[in-house]
Amino acid sequence: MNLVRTSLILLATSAAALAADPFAGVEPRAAAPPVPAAAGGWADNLLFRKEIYLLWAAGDDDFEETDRAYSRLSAGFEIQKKFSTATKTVASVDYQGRLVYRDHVLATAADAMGMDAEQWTYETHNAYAEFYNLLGDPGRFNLRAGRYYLPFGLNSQTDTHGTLLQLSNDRLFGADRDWQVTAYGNASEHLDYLAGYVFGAGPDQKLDGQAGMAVGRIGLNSDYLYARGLEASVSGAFGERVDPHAGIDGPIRTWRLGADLRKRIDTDIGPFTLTGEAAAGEDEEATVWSGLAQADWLLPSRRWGLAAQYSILDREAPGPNPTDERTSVVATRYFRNDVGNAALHWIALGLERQLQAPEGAGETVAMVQYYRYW
Amino acid sequence: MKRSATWALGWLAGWLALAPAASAAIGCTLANPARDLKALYPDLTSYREDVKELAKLPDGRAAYEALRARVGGDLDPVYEAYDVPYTLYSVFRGEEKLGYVHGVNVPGRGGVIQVFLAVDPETAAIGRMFYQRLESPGGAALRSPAATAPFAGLSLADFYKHDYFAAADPGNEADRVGQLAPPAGLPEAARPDWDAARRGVRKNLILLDLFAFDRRHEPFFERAQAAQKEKETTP
Repeated sequence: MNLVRTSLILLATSAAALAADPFAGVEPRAAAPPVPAAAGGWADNLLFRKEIYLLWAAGDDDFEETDRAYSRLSAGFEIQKKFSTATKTVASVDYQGRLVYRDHVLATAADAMGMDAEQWTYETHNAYAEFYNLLGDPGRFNLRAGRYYLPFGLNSQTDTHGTLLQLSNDRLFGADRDWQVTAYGNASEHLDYLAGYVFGAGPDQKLDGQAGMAVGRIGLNSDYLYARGLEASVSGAFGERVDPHAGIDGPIRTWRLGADLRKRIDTDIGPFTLTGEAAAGEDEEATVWSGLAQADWLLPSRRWGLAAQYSILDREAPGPNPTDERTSVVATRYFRNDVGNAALHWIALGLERQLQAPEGAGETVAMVQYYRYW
Repeated sequence: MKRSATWALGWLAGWLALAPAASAAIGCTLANPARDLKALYPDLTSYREDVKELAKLPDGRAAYEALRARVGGDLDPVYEAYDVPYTLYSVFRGEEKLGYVHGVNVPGRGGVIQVFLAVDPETAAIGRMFYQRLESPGGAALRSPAATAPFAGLSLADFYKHDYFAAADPGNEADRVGQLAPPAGLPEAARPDWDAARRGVRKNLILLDLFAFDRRHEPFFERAQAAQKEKETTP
C-alpha cells in the first residue's frame, strides 16, 4: 500500500516538475568525436570579390567649352588567401586590380590616378603578402611586403578604394599606395606602430634612381577607436621619391611630418565622424604643407550617407598658382553597405569646387558614381 | 575605337556580374586579433582564423532560413544578408584548444553593434561577452562590466528556453535570459540598443552552434517550439 502511495506521489511530483520546466530531461546532442585539427585546404579561406566602378563627371566651364563629360569605367577583382597550420594563421596574400577606361579626363580629386593615365589602363591597387606574429608576443611584429597604402596618415586604416572622397596622400606623395616592406604591430599597451621602407615609385610605379623613403606612423590602438571612437597618430617620411606632378624631374629629396585625428560621435540618428589630417615638409628645397578636414554622417540603417571635405596642398613652386584647394560634398544611397566592406553597392552624387588649382580655379565638377563590390 | 572599347568593358562588367560569387571578403573581424585574444586567453600561444560563409555550406539557403527562424524575426538586408562572411577564431595553448571567439554585426538604433563572444569549446557556454564597434549613445553603459558579465555562463539552450518562458511562464526562475536587465544608467534613447545587443548574443550563439558545434542545441529549440504549441492549445 505504501509502495503504491509513494509511486503515485513520485509520479505527481514528476508531472508537476515537467509542467514547471518543460525542458527537464532535454539534453544537447552528443558532440561528434573530436577530429584532430588540420591545416586548411587550398580552397579554405580563399576570398574572391568582383568590382564595378562607373563615374561620370562634368565641369561647368569645361562642359561649356567642350560639350563633353568625363567618364571613367572600370571592372576589377580582389583575391585574398590566408594560410594556416592546424593551430595558427601564419600568412595571407592579397591582390586587387582594375581594368580602367577613361575618356576626357578632368583633374578631379576623386580620380587622382586619372590625371595623365592612358585611355585604357590596368591598375594594380593591392598586391601584398602579410606574415603574422613573426617575433615576440602575439601582435608585436607582423610584416607586410608588396603594394599597399602608404603607412602615413589615416589612409593606412581607411578603405578609400571605391569612395569619391580621398585622403591626403595622393596630393602629399603623388600616390596613396606604394611598393613597400612594412612592419606593424603593438608598440605599447596604448599605441600601435607602422614602420617601413617604400620605393617612392609615385603614381606611375617607376624606378628612376630614387633611394626610396623610410615611412612610419605611431598612433592610438584600436581600443581607443572602439571604446571612445577616437583615432590619432603622428607620421613621418624621409628619403627620395619620384612624382611627375611635383614639377621636378628625377628623384625628389623628400621629408614629411604629419598628424591626424578622427573622432566618431554616436547619436541616435547615426554616427558622425570628423576627420583631420595635417602635414608639412619639403620637396628638395620647396616647402610643402597640406591640410584636410572632413565630416561624415551615416544613417543608422547604413542606407544613406552624407560627407563634406575641404582639402588644401600648398607647394613653393614657380608658376601662377601652386596651391590646390578644393571643397567637396557627396551624398550616397547604399544598397549594400557591409560593416566590414565585404559587400558594397551604392550610387553617389558629388560636387567638387576647385577654389584654387594649378589647372585653373573656379571649376565646379558634378559627379555621378555607381559602385559595386561583391 | 572608343565604341569598341566601351563595348569590351561592358562585356567584362557583364561577365563579372553574371559570374557566381566564389566567396566573400572579410566579415566581422577583430581589429587586433593577437592583442584581443591574448587579453581573453592569457595562456594563448597561437590562434587560427577561419572564414565561415553560409553560402558555402552544402545547404546554405536552408541554413540562412534556419538562422532567421531561430533568431526569431527578420534579418536585416544590409547588416545580416545571406552572403555576409564570418570569422571564427580558434585559440590554442600548444595543441590544446582553449576557446572559440566569434563576432556578429547587428543593427542598433544608433548604428552598428558588433557583439563578440568567447565560448568554451566543450560546453559551448559563454565565457565572456564584449563589444567591438558600438555606435550607440548608451555605449559606455552597455560596455560596463555590470552589463556584460551577466552573459557569462549562458548557452544557446538558455535563449531557446527563454522563448517558451517569455510566452508561457514569465518570471520562471529557470529563465536565465529573462533575468538579464538593461544596465543602470542606460539612456532611454539607447534602450533599443540593449535589445539589439541581446539579439546579437543570440544570433552569435546560433551561428556558433552551426559553425563549431554541429547544431548540438537543436533539441532545446525543438522542445521550446513544441512546448509553446502545447501551451497555446491547452485550455
